[in-house]
Amino acid sequence: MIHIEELVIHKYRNLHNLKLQQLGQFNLLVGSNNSGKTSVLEAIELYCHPLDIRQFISTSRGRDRIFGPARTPLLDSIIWMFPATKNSKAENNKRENIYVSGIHNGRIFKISAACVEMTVIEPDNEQKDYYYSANEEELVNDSSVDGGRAYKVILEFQNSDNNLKNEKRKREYLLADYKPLFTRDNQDNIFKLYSTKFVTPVDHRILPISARLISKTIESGDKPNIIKLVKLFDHNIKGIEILSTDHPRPYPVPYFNHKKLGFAPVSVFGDGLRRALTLASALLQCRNGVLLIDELETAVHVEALEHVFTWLINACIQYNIQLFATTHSLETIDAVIAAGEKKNLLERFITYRLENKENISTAKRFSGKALHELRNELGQDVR
Amino acid sequence: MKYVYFVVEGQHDIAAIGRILKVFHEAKQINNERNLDPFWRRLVPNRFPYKGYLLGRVPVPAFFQTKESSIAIHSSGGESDLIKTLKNTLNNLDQEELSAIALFCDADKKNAFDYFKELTEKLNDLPPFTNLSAPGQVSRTRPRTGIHVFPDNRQGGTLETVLLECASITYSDLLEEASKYIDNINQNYKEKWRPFDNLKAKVGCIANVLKPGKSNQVSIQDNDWICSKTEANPSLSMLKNFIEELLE
Repeated sequence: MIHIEELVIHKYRNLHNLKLQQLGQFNLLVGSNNSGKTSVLEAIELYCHPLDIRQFISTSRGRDRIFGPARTPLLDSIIWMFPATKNSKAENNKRENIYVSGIHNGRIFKISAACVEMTVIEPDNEQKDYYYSANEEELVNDSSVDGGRAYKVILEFQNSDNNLKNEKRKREYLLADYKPLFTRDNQDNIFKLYSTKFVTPVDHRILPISARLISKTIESGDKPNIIKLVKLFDHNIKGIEILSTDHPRPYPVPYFNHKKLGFAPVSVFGDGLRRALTLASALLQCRNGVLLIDELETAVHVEALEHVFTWLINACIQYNIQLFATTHSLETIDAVIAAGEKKNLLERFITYRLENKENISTAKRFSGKALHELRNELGQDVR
Repeated sequence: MKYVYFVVEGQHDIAAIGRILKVFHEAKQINNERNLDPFWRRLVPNRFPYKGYLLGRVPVPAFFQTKESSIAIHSSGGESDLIKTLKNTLNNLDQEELSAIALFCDADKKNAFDYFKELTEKLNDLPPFTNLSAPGQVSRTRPRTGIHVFPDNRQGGTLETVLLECASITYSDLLEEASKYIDNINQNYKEKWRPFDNLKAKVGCIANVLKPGKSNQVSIQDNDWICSKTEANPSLSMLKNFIEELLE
């Protein structure tokens, strides 16, 4: 199903007024390096969670999954999401607001985020356990008081239906160097347009495969589907089980039941299998929502691409998911077309080539049929 | 650099237009991808086979370079795919950079104006083509656009009609012999011929004398079908002026 019908990224990172019109259920983003493909996925993630500061932070960290001292400071990650003000050098930190709008179910939704530099008085220890709203007293604009860097982030959401009935919501947060954010918000109550899951090219390497999600899959009866997927990578896999570790404080770990190896932890298998399970977990987390995959081809051998994508398409249909994925690979584009053609679903596939000319972002749109003709009849490159 | 994109029905059209570009515009054909203007890079196919057909021709356009223009001539492989090739390729190019776009086709099934009308109706979603009122006309918009219907935007015929008119000037003896031969062969051989196939057969006979064992297109691009001696021929002159106007 097409949840988001149209999206305009007015301002986000280096994207300006990028229009993605007539979106499909399966949307492929291509373009040269630095054309903004990953930024589009991030903008969609923000759009779907317009008032959620935790998601905002998580999105800002999407490109920087590493942990430890080499990681970009959080505030820097956040600041760089905001476009640099035109005619000013990026380093002076003058930033424009983030602004994204979209249409679904015939309604227009607009989200924006603003970032205002603040100075805070060092709070006492007791206060440090709480999150800071910009409206609270400890926020001041007195630069003579050195409390470290701090930014007020203002998240806003607005929607209007055909009768022009408007709804506006706004939340403000303080993010500071001296203390990570602690929110008292109950995540279950946080408003969202759609569930999303963002799969980066490194997630399968650095994030553990979630035993909880695999467990949920098994409970929901989807286990045969997962087995079918992982068998594309290793036909000796018979099953997947959640087992307890032999540890003083046991915790659940997913294991493959393998014809030759017996029960072996998922983590000892190759990238392809881990990627497959990462995708399967992601699908479960965004049922009836939006799946965002950066570099679709990652860890999948070219000969398996078509099979994996056929599986992915089936799963997206089964779970009512709209897919947005980036790729640099022509083989991936061809495999996606072949999978779509095999399922007789080419009309649900749309490809956008992102281009950036003189700071203007444009998206060239190719229908599934046009892409099929360009690749299979004219042999042209569309990247 | 001016970027010019032509879509034609077949390889003979490419050879004829390429010959005009070489003889009258000092164009050079680009034979190596390294020398190709990067603007066209997406049009160079990078997969094979097409539609699974192992004997198929690689659908690469012919590229020509003049001092001011970079020209791609794309064969659609036939009348039925003319519009599809044009629309898909334009969508894949940066259209704002194009200075001229043109279609070339034969009036072999319909008269020139009816065919022109049919094409422009199919192109009504492509703004540059909505300003045209007659075949052979070049719009003064950017990009310049036009549709040329062989032989002369009026009469029925094909590219071969033009070539044989030219051959009557430069190869009159060969044309006379070829015409006698084709006109006199047993009618059984002509049973499956389509309209104007007799013209193609005559061109083939002459071409095989001029370039034995080579395809017609080799002769069209190398011999004097199209040259300074034949440029005054009304049909060729019309085609030459049409291209000239597009390149201006």
